[in-house]
Amino acid sequence: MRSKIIYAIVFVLIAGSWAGNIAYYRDYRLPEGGFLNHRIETMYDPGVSFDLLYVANTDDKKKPVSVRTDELPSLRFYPAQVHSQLSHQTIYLLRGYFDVARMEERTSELAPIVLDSVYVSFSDGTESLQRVGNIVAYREARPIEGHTSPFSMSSVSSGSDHSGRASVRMTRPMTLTNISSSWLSELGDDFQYAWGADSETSGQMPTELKNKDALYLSYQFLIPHGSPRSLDVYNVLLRQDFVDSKGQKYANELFANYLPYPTEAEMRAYVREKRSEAK
Amino acid sequence: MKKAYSIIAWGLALELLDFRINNFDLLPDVLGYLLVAIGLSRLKEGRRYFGVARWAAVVLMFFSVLPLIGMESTISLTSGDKPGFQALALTSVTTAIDLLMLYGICRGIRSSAINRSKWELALSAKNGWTILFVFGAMTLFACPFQLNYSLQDGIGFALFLAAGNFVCGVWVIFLVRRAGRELPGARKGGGGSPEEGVGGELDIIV
Repeated sequence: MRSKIIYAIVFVLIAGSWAGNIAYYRDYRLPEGGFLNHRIETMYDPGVSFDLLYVANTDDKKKPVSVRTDELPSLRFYPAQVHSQLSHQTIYLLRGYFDVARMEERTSELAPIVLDSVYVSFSDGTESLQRVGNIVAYREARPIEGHTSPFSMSSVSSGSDHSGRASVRMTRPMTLTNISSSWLSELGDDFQYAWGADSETSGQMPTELKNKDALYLSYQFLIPHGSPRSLDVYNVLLRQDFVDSKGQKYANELFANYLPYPTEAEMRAYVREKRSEAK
Repeated sequence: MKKAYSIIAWGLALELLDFRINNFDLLPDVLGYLLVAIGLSRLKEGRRYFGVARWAAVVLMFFSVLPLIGMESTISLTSGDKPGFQALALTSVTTAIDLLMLYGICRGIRSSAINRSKWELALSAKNGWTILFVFGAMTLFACPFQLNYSLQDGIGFALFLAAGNFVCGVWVIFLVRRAGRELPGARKGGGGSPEEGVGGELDIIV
């Protein structure tokens, strides 16, 4: 009798372990894989790249392989790599670049291309259209002819705290007229940037920059953990607009990247949100 | 009867040991379970328990074919891969049936030993089963945690369970060998005591 009671208790414990773990496992599975929400600004030019993050259940057999879009025919992607490994989900990074061999010439600036979905091909040979957020690709004239660059000796650096800085030196007197990005108003206080120059400036724009003056630009993402946008992906293009003494306009670009590394708690919240959306 | 126990011991050894070359198992489990089932079918005494063990061995024989058709039913401690639900479920089911088979063997040997007043052997079978059951139960309890946690999170406990289960498996082989020597009906090495001689007759009668 005693041994039967022991066997019964052990059976209940094992059954409880299975039931509890299966319930927990099912609660933290994504209904299906998909992209995180992206806010990408990019230049439709060779040498420019940007990253997309795709999240899927770790034990899914179907893994993302590549991405394509009809609107940007020269867009290519390097093979997907693991960006972050969590207990139940894996985040894959797909780095896109523009293939110079397939890049068409543009004699004048064209309207930007705005995408909210892309085709994803998977390891099982299937392909599906998936929402990605927003990708804005600016299309300036290419190649730019007739003007020598008014900038030289630029340096760019970035840190693991989602900060970065860059400097660019003038090769002739220029006037800085504006610094802008499509996502500045949306980010609000979650993104801060500052600029300065060798010359004394009032801190206001427009500001005069002399020949050989350096313009310094620094930025930092201040998106707190647990914030609704902490799992968003940002590629902020800080465009600096200049005009020279003849009225010719120039622009210099600095890309500020924010790639999230979610905590287990953030990923659980994300999965809960996706599961409730799927119901 | 000694031969029957010897066949069971060889079957258990084949089941316990895996020698793989390029994922090809040189000692397939299906052969081990077949030998165990054949050996158990030859034992007349303790039929109730040995019968349970025999049917468990037959079921395990079919389960051991699954890897040959591409179904993953084992968990690797060294590959670093997180096992899927199917692999965990199959591993747990086979562990549970394996436990049932070992219960049948231990209980059958104990029953035969009690009938022949082989108290030490009976006690050994009882204690051994208790330890087997503890390790088996702990394995079945811990297995589903791999759905939610990496094996590396509890690698120490996993290695402890793996080592414990292996030692228990070796111990059962020695128990079966000992039963072959000590229980009546063994033609050689039984010690030649009068009690064993009587047991030999009883073995034929039963």
